[in-house]
Amino acid sequence: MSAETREEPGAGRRNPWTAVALAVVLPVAVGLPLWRQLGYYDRHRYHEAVTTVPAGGGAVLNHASWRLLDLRRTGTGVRLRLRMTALDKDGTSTLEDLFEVRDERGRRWQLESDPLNDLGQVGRPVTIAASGVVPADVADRVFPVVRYAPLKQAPGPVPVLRFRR
Amino acid sequence: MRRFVAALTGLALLTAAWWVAGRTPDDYDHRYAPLATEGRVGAPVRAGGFVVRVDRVTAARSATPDGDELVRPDGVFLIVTVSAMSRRAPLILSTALLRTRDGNVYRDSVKNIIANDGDPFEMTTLAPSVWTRGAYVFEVPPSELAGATFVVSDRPANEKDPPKDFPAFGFELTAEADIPLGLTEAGARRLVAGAPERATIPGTTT
Repeated sequence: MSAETREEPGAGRRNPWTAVALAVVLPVAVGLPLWRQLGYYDRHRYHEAVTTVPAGGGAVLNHASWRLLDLRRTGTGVRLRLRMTALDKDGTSTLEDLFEVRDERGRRWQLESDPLNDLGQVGRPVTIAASGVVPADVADRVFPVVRYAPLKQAPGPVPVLRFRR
Repeated sequence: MRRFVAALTGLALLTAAWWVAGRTPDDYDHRYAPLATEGRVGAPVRAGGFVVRVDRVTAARSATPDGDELVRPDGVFLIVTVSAMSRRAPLILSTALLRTRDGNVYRDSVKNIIANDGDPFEMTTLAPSVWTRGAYVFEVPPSELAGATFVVSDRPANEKDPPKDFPAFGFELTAEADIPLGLTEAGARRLVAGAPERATIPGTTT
């Protein structure tokens, strides 16, 4: 046997074991940090917990009960009216609620709510009105949304009410 | 033969590593620079979540919000009238600046708010598929106008300059539209020469 073709004793058994070790170590070395980073991203990205409210029904968001009264078309967009009933003292203000309309493509139009004069009583319903500019071609197809938008958002899904018309 | 293939593979890997290293920006500013889309005056520029179009570029020596109060610039007021809309969600084009040919940067003037009668475009919420028109106002020395580029983005405006040699917070990989205003030396001189003594800044309209 020549010097070039001579192999060390046990070399034939070592190569398969090296391959097996690499097959285990490499996915763990690459996959584990990736999995942890994806988990971090998933915990901190913006995502919503959507509650779909049937037509005529009500649902609870931010310590208050909400019911859609109507969504009307205006000259430049839409006007939304909701009935809000505070369930406790934290639900008497709308400062942390955002009013929007959305279409089936996921586009969002922010509405500006009218100033409120008669907040502050638990259990007493008040009418919230909000309006905004929406393109004429989608004004009849948008659906109202109330989104919880506190100044300091904890990680996790943002509660959203989506009303069927 | 096997050794030759291994050597060739090693050489190829080394070359690939050298190529990647050579093309990776080594400083933070370049690696995470805004994703700029270039456009031109009069044409819509689609950048990230918004579309913006520069409609008009004018200059003024002073501005008045109500015909009574007068606001004077350092240099001249450069008034960039734009139309813009968002593509999906409400957003605000809160960062606007003028980048000159020499690389100097002028942020939109704080006098914009006064000149605009409290209705500045950088505080206007844009909606999808709804064109909104308004103006950004810059205070610029007349000599800096030629070759200037208007830059606009929905990234948050910095309240103050970051510490020296530290990148501005919040600019990483954000979308921005870079629109050269097409002002030559002669064009800039004509713009300044024709600038009215007292102008009214266009308000924001939808």
